[in-house]
Amino acid sequence: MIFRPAFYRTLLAIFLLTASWGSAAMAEPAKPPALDPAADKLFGNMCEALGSANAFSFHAEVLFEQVLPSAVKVQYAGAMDFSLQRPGELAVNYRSDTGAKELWYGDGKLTLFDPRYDMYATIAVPGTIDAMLDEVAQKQGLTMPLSDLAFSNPCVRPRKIAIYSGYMGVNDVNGVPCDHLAFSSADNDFQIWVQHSGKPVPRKIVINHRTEPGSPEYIAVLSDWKFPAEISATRFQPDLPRDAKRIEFLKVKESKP
Amino acid sequence: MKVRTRFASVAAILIVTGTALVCVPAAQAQWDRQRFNESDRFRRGGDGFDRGNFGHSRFDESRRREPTSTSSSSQTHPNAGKDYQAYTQNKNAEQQARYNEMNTLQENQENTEKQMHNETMNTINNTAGDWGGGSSDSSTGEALGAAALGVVGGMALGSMMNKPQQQSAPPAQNPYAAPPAYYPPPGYGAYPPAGYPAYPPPNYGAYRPPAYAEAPPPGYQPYYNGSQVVYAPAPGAAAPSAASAPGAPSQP
Repeated sequence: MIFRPAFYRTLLAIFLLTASWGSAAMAEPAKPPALDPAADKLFGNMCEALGSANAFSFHAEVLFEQVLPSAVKVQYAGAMDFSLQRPGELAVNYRSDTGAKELWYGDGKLTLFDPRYDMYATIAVPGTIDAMLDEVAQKQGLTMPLSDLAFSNPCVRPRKIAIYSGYMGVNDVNGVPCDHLAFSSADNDFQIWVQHSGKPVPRKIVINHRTEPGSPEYIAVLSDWKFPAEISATRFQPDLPRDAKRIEFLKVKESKP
Repeated sequence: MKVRTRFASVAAILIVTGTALVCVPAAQAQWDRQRFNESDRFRRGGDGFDRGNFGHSRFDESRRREPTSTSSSSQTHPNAGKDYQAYTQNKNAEQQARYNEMNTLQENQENTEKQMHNETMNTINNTAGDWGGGSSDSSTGEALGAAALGVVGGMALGSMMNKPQQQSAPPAQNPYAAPPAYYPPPGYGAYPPAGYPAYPPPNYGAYRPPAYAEAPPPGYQPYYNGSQVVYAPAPGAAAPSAASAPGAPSQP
């Protein structure tokens, strides 16, 4: 059998076309992030207001979801009182449908009390809030709710992980007009409602764990914001029941590659 | 004729090869992403204390960790890490099996929802067309159909979504209101997976809330694992076998 030259030319053309199509698709560079400057500016104002404050406190009403192994999503409620004083004091009083926690941080020590178990742990930690939050997250695997707001610059981490952001307009949170901002990271979507008039404090935070089964959400509505010149040191000292039992933290360690 | 047939066969092979070349990177990225997520997806739980963080996580997403010992310098705990690893392995295997089942069920449900959505849209369009005078190509009917869809969509999304529509045009660089051509980004929607489970799920009653947590085995002691209290063997105690280890750390 003899093929004509035209056949080979056509065959070669098809091959080159297909190969170039494939290689072009493989070599396609990553798209640039689509971050909205308006959202970033408003977010920056909020971070400035919180980061520059010597002390603040707020109350939060929380809703959070759990996806059961049967794929049914259930919602629980909680409430939290959060107090912070720079450089190194923090207190969280948290109770929810499924448990409770009290956390005190001051004088270089952190105490975490679980009222349901009547157990607590105390560990030595760094003297500044930023360093403390990073260390306990790394060493003890401990994070506390809405701790993003406690950092001296709350914007740093969200800006680092955001791949999309948008300004959704002036929307309402319990009667307070707020600038509604939306962000997306690789794994989560998070929305923040920043008070439109007066001090730009966050009034509502919604986090959607988009890549987890059932996309569970965490919703916190923040109120009763206070920015006192000073918060009494007693607020940050452990107030434990007499019969509370002391336990230790399990330490987490990086696995070797 | 033979030449043409052979030519067609070779061309088809080349096109299939090219298509595969195009698809492989995306498929690989998706697989990697799923594998990563599956290893890390059940880390939350308990009373919700460790939630509510969007920028700061106890886990660096690019690294995996495993518990090995207590943080107390005054108390060593040689078995805690090993035991916890056994816990985790058992728990992860069980949860992975459940998750696989869930994915299948979810796929079925999504298909059902898609079908229902299509049927609803058809019904609305047909109804709106009738309102417009019954003409099959009535522009009034189309407009009413679009309006009805808007109403239904608003109801489906909740009343909060009505507000932005009433406001002035959003800023120019707002990807949410005016998404760029490549939105959603590649890999954006790992979840929801294809299909949400048919309801009620078969093992609905199998879940036991945390309040029904089993009592810890003898010799176990409580520890904080992150913000949650768990039980692990006391220092010096022998690590239990995988079979005797409880399925999951006890939670209140």
